[in-house]
Order: sequence, then structure tokens, then C-alpha cells
Amino acid sequence: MVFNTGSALLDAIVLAVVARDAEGTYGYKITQEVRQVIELSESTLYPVLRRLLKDACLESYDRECSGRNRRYYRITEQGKAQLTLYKGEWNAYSEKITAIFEGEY
Amino acid sequence: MKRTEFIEQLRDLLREVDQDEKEEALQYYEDYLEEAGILENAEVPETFGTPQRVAQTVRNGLNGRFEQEAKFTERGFQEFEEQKNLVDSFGGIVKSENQTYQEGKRGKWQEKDKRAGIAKILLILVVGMIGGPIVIPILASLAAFLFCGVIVIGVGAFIPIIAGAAMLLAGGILSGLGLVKLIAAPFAGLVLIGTGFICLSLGLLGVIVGIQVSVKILPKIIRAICDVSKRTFQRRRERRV
Repeated sequence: MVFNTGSALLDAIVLAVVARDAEGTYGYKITQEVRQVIELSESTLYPVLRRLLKDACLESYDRECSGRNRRYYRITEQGKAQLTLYKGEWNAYSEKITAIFEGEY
Repeated sequence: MKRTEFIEQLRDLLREVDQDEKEEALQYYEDYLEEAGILENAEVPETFGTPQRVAQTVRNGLNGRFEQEAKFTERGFQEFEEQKNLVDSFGGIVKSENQTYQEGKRGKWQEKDKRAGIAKILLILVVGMIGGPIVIPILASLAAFLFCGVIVIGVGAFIPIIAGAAMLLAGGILSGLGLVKLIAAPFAGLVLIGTGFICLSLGLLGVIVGIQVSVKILPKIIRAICDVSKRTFQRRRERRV
């Protein structure tokens, strides 16, 4: 991938991935799913998740799973609103870029 | 490196970090390795990065520098330093790359503009002090000259029209009189009619010339004056942009 993923886009991708599981999902799974679309080191998502928690876009809870506690992340209403905003921005942005590539501008 | 060893090193590297934050981070990475199927005594793969890298990631996050982290993600941590330099040379990534880059650029331009502005003011002051006594009268007389020129052209256009109208009137009267006299004194009458026609033609000529001047030449002159002043203003605006 030659294009950088900015922090806003990474936030949007993480929110979208977390939003897919209504029950919530955990760090390892989120990382693996994000890694399917962008190149990402294994340790990168921790600060992103921490910040999204701080911003109340995500909430976390612990759930027991095979004898040990696993930390789950779930999207909040605020996170959903933020994701909607990101999606709108992304559509506008990508449409413009596509249009300029296709010579429509 | 074994997982327990990895976590201990990470704990040591984060010793200056706030206790709660440190425990959160350690918990996250321990869970992560567990989920990845790396048991306590198993080796942490090199692709996961060194404890130093992970500690840097955590610290950057705490310092509000997630954005740089996010930038590094593209090629992973291998190009950590290189990416960092790239970021620095762009003047620091704050929110989105595009925005800051533009902001940085605009900032530089503004700075340059401000400097140019100060230089311009100084120049005006110096020129004003030295050249004021010479430049102001020249400018004033130039303005007066232009003003007079416009009036002269304006009047100049009206003179032929008025004169022409007078000639037409005189020609009409003369030829009328000639027609009346034609019966009593045919020769004098003919002379009067002839003179009257000459007057009419001269009058027509004067009116036509006057109208031509005011319709065609006057707007051109006015436009030329407008163009000159517009160009000066435009140049100024361009410099500002």
C-alpha cells in the first residue's frame, strides 16, 4: 500500500470493525480484521482503542471466556454518530478523488 | 523472547508511566498475546516487535501522538524512524495529513507575506519622507492634467454638436429666406439658398463628428483610464495572493 492511513481514517476503520459486532469484540480480533484491509503492526491498535475509549466512542467491559477475563470493546451511541460522520466525509472525499482520476474535474 | 519475559521488559520500560495506564497497557498486550495463541512460556514472534517498540507505541499514545503512530502503521514499525522524519519534514502531523500540510504551508506564506508587508511599509515611509515633496506635486498635477483632459475631450465633443446644430438652424433659416426672396429677387434668393445649403451641410458634418467623438472616442479614452487603474490594483492584489 503506497498511501498512508491517517489517524482519522484509522479511527473510522476501527469504529466500523467494532460496530459489526453488537455484542462487542476484543483487541486481537479487531487488529486481525483491520489488518485484512490495511497494513498494521500488531501493537498499533492499543493507543487507538484507548483514545476511542477516552473519547467515549467505545466502551469496554470484561467478560469471562474459557476461564479468564477478556476485555471487550463495544461501540457507543457517540461512536455510532462519529462513524456516520466519518462515512459521510469518506464518501465525499473518495468521490472527489475518483472523479479527478477519471478526468471528470 | 518468552511471553513472560516480554511482558516484564515492557513493564520495566513503562515504569515512568502512570500506574493505571501501565496496568491497562500490560493487560491489553498480555491478552493480545494470549488470543494470538502465544502461551506464557511460548516465544513471542519477532513480527510482533520488540518490547521497546511496543513501549514507544504506548508512550506515544499517552503523549497524544497517536497520529504519528497511525502514520507508521502503513509500513509497520520497520520504518519507524524514517516515517518520523517524514512527518517532521512536513511540519508535524496533527489531525489529518492533508490539513496540517496545508496549514503549515499557509503559515509559511503568511509569514512571508507579513515580512513583505513590513518591508513595504518601510519602503513607503522612506520614499514618502525623501520623495514626498517631489512625488506629491507630480501626482497632483498628473491628476489635474487627467481631469482637465477629460473635460476638454468632453467639451470638445459637444462643441461640434452645438456648432453643427447652430449651423443647421442658420442654414434652414437662410434657405427659407432664399425661397421667399426667390420671387422678388431671384439672384439674391439663389445665393441665399446656396449659402443656406452650405450651412446645412456643415452643420450636419459638425453634428456627425460630435456624435462620433462622444460615442466612439470618449468611451475608449475612459476605458483606457479605467484599464490603467485596474491593472495597478490587480497587480497589487496578485502580489498579495
